[in-house]
Amino acid sequence: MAVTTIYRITEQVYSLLSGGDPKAASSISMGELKIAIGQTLNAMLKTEYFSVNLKMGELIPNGSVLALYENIEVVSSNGKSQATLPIKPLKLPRNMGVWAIYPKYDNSSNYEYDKEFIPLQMGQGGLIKSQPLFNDLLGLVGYECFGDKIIFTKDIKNLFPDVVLAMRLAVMDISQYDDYTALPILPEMEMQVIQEVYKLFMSQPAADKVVDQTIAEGAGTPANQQKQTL
Amino acid sequence: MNLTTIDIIVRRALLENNLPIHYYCEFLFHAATCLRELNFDTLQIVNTANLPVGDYGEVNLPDDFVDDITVCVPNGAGIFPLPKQDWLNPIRIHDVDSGEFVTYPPTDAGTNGLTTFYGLPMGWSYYRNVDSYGMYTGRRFGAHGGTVQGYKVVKERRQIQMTEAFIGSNVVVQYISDGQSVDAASQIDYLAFSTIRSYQDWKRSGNANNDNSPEGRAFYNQKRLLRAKLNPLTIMDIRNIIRTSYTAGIKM
Repeated sequence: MAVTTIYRITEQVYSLLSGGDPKAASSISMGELKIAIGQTLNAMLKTEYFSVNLKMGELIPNGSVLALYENIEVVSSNGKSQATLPIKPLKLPRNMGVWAIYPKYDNSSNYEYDKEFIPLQMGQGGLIKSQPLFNDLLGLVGYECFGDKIIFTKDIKNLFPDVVLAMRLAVMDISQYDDYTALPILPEMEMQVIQEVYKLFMSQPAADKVVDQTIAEGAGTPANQQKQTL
Repeated sequence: MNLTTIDIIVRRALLENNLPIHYYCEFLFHAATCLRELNFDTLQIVNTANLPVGDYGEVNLPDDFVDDITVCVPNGAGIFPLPKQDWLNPIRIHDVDSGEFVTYPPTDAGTNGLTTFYGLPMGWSYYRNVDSYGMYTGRRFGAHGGTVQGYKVVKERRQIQMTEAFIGSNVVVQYISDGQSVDAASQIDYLAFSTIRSYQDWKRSGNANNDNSPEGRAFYNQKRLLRAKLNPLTIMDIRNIIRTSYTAGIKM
């Protein structure tokens, strides 16, 4: 089986929509289809998690697509540090869409891929301050996610001025894949994504034949039922 | 002694339950609650602190103080325990001019010549009631033993109040800690590992408020085992207790 790429899926959908080779005057573009494929894949990945993983009692979203983003800047803000999510991930329970955030404390070191920060739920950062045993989170660094902002429990930027972050986010970020890079999607999803995207665009008028009242074939076709002309 | 940390217990719990790091805090909260409860009656983290005695005989309690074990006067390599004196007034008085707290004027008990210090009678009659061989003849009718020196824990003030006659600039306090002041490492007796784990599982179950649920009973069973494991008594200790209770006597 050939490697699945965004281009391959797009082409397949396009062929189905066009009833063969895509026409030059088609109202659908390859770009549009690629975006729709990304959107559909994200919806399917989320559904997959809830219908398969959760049903089996598995909370770890194995099989999800995790996009890795590196070199994300950290800034000090109001006595704490914060960073901005490069993309909004899937909304999963416990905000698992933000799968992990790792630090790289200085330029000469590596990303600490075994020492991720501790995720907190929204508002817990303030609540734990009242608890003597773990108000410092046992010396670890935690973070809360507010919208697209990550707020850390400590000012790591102040402690490590050169710190940058790597993030693993549960999202199918289509912009990370060019036409010929293998898409990390499940094989059983390929057919499904083609069908879903096809359904999305099937109501679009396909550029097929010239509709012209002057020719016999087009005679009598009401104007609102006429298809696109070349 | 093998020690572990809360962090290790929490990460182990995540692994055992096949959970991601997003559940770390929930398990951490349960572990901390369990640790607090175990410290009251099972683990009993005992801290010892040398604390200064203030101007009016007050000693500020440590932040993690739960209950006192002893309050002692340090002397050389030894510490000598003082008794509790519940008659001490927990209400403080202050100087009308300066507004600062001051000591109470001496009570009758404090000046009573028939009292003792560490069991040693302070009254004049003690030295008089001896025979020609220097043996004490008693006859101190109405005298009572004990000492008026001592302390009272005044929890609402978060202080220990020493008696007004207390002489000394500091006391050694041994107390049960709530375990909440331990640092990031939070060293915990390794024997408590299973107990804390069972508590986490109980509190995450649907029977969190049911002591008699299977999960609740599993926790109490683990706690019972922990207490047994922590018991330092050995057969040799028990034998020795019995043997040291014997005293030589005249053979009849």
